[in-house]
Amino acid sequence: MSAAEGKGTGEFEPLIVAFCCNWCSYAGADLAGTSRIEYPPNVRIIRVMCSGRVDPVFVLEAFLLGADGVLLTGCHPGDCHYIDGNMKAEMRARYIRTCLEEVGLEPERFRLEWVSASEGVKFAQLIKEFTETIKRLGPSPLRVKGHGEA
Amino acid sequence: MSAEGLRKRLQAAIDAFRDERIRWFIGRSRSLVDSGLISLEKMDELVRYLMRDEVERHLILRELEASGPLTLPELAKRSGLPLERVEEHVHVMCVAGVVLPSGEREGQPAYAIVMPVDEMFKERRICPCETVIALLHRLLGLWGGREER
Repeated sequence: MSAAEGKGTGEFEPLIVAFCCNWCSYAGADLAGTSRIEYPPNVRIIRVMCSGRVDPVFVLEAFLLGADGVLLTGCHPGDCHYIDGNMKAEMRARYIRTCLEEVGLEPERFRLEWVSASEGVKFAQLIKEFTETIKRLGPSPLRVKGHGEA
Repeated sequence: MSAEGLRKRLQAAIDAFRDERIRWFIGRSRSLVDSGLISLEKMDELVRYLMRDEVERHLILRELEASGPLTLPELAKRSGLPLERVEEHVHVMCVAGVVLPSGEREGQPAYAIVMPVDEMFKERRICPCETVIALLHRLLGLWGGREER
């Protein structure tokens, strides 16, 4: 939690959970790191073997535990290591958004994106954009007091 | 909506997503759309309808688990749902055998759940083939310690 905490500015620092697939997006995030591309430290990456492994329950649990935003990244369509895991993730993402609307949470707090292993710049840009989006939306009503507070 | 209300609704959504009804639908939706049997827009509409139903039912079940037996107006107040919706869901769940009338309060029938929610849906949250096996075992009376229906 340290990155989002203690900036001392009083500004809201979102807490974002990112599920990254092992074969493309995690490698993309790694590339962003090794290329020393800067992106906001608000994201906590969870590596999964495939974006299709991400159960909607994982996303909802993250929100229940106080995440301000959840990002799901996978291989580009046609590039999935497991043939069509990312396509399954895409369908689930539609329903996760529907569910968030039904529950009363902004669907913009959840985002699905394709990031390949060579797209370190895109990954960094995505994190920047998503962090800005969440900052605009404000803290999650379920935010745990103390997390990300300056 | 209050944070507590949102938390309850999110928990109900988690329960709904763990349940076989939603999982089956989501699992099949892509092949149904790809096969041209149903359009993506129609599928979205169906999922929204189903999701609303399931979230509301699980919300009611969790309220009954936490504070039951409760009357319909009490349930409506606690869950924040319209009374007609609560009435409809409770009726459906009574037919399904997950909710039972349990006494009366202030001239109104009160309702309770037959067993804790997690236990109730344990079978339904496992893989469908295991669910079938579990059902067969129960029907054949082979499941040790379980009541035969």
